[in-house]
Amino acid sequence: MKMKKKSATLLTTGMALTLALAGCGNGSNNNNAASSAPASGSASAPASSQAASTGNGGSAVEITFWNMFGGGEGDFVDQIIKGFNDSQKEVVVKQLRLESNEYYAKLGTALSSGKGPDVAVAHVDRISPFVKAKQIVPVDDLASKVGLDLSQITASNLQSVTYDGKPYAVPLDTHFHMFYYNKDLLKKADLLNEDGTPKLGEMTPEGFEKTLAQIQSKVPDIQALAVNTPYFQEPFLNLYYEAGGDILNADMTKAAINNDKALSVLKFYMDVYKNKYADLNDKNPWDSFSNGKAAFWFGGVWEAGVLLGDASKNIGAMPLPPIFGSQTHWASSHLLVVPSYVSAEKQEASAKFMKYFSEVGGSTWGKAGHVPANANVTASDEYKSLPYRDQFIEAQKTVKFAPQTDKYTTIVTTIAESLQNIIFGSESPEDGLKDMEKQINEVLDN
Amino acid sequence: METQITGRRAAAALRRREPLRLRTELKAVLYLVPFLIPFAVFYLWPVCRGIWMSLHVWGIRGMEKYVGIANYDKIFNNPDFYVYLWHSFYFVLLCTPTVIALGLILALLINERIWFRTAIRSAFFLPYVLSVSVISFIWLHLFDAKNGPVNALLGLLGAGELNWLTDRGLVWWAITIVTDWWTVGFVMVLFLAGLQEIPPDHYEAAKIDGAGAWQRFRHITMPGLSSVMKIQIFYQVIGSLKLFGQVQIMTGGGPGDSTNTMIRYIYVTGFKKDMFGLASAQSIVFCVIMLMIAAIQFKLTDRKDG
Repeated sequence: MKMKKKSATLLTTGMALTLALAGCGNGSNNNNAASSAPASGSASAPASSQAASTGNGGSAVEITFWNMFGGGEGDFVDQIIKGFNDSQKEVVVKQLRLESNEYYAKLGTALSSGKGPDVAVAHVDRISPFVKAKQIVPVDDLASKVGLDLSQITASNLQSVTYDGKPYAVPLDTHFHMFYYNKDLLKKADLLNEDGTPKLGEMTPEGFEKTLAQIQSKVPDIQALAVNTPYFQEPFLNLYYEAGGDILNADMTKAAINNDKALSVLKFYMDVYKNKYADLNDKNPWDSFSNGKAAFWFGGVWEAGVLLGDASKNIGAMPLPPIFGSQTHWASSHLLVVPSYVSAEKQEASAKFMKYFSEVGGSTWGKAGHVPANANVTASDEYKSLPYRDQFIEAQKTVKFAPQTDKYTTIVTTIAESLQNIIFGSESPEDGLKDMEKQINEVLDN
Repeated sequence: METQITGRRAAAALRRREPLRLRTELKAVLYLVPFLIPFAVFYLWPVCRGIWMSLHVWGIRGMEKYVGIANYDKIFNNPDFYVYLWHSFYFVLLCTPTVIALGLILALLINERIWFRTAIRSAFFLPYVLSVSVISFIWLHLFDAKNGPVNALLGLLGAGELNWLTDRGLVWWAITIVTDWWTVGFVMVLFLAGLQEIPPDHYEAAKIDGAGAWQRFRHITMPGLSSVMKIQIFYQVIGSLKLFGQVQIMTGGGPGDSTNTMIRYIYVTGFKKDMFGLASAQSIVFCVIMLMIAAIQFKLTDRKDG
């Protein structure tokens, strides 16, 4: 009897322990999945660099490269990395591809904890906080050490990464929106020129609406203009920048968004929705356009592969028309940055990779649609032979990058949310803009 | 006098039993350790850290400055907070009654001797094993206004194009349908277990006494299920308050902000706007609200039991 009781106790203890261990294992597994990046980045690097160095006769430096590219873009990056690793024996690049939604949370953690990549991709509108915290290094000295001539980089790109006169990243590209048009639909609407370009009429909001009305009356079953409603901040900022607007004032201390320019852009879009030139309920406008259900589309250059690559779609591209006056439009840019915690040896290795990515990889990267930042690449015949790239280069000349504030992410999220409220009618445009101004000012005061 | 004596006697008894009690207590603690350690490390510690964070301005680069209760001040002075809190509760009102009613009906049906019982039971339980992202993407496509099967089916019945996910009047129903479909299997299984615990002779006796089907349900089935029912309501209320994945994937909180819930509000504040301090404060506030609701529910159900 006593024996039996004892064994029962033992059994329960055993079970409890097993459960606890299982729980523990689970917990740490989840933990790993959530933050696998820094952990595996730092843990695997030394182990595999040993392997690599033995394989390469003990001379190769292995660096870890973080990026967030998936799908088509990812394939081009794979090609570039392979090309670099095959082209020389001193540096081996190992990449860690992260989920784009969580990329900056992880990169930020890595940079502040001092463990993570040796070189990483970042967007131009994201690096301000890193520069301010001195978590990434200036690249001018590194570039000259490995013979990367930064004057090859397009001036506007270089300017966008310059803080206090020093460049803090190597810009890879500029990406922005183009005006894509469906030639078949325009032909039906009598709006196609002989040379395959669209007849756009008078370049004012009213004039453009007239064009849209003509498409609607002649080709009734489609949207005249597909508007990126789910990410409405993009079409909004494009036309707001055209109108000469800014998000912040010149010294970036106050919001500058509550004005007539913003209001007229919002009223234009509300009109477009109201007259059914665009469908407010379309949750996949990019598909609608790609499938021939819309005549015009402000689409990213990164969509060029899909939209222009397939000749049967009969789609053309040109810079965004100056509906609100100027040709200035929104842009962002991919950069390569080197964290401050990286050792001098690995910084130099990273710089070699940056040089390769900019000079040689650029032409591969250009195929993805982004306009390479390296002017030698965009001047090459190989790049120019890609469809509509002359138009891309033209559009690249009038881009406007995000203001260099470390609060940009917060600000643009605030704008995106308020805009959704405005276009879906929870708030009038006037109140919405007032609200935006108030919230942005609160963020800046913090 | 009397109380004094009993008091003293009790004290003496307690003293006598003390070593034994201490040992049992220690033993209990020992058994609990395997649970307590992970609980403290993975739950209590993060919560405490959250409270600490909520007193600071905390960005992606870590702590910036101590601000005391300024974050809490900000929350209660922001009208959005009350709107999104209401959205979370509104979903409880929509989802909890519907999913419990559906689950009960399904359980009653399956408890009868019908054909393909196991197959039907599995079919209804199947969605529950899928993750929230999977079910959200499935229904995102089903509810598509232009090419979605739901609208195609309704079109056959003569309905016009319904914008399930971008119409204010429909969007909450769309989310409720998805969530009901997803979780009803679990509710059903719990009710089935409850039904099987009700002794069949109760029904037989009632039948002999001439009770109709409704009377049997009302006076035998419902009381028999009451303890299961309480647990179900408790689970569903808490589960509904935690609504996040479905709206994040299917509507992005839209149209406008009409399906933005507390959890999504916290997520956007922290991870999209980089205001982790404020987001921590929001989580703490919401956590306290949920704890209060749980406490009230426990109180109410306890009283009924007594």
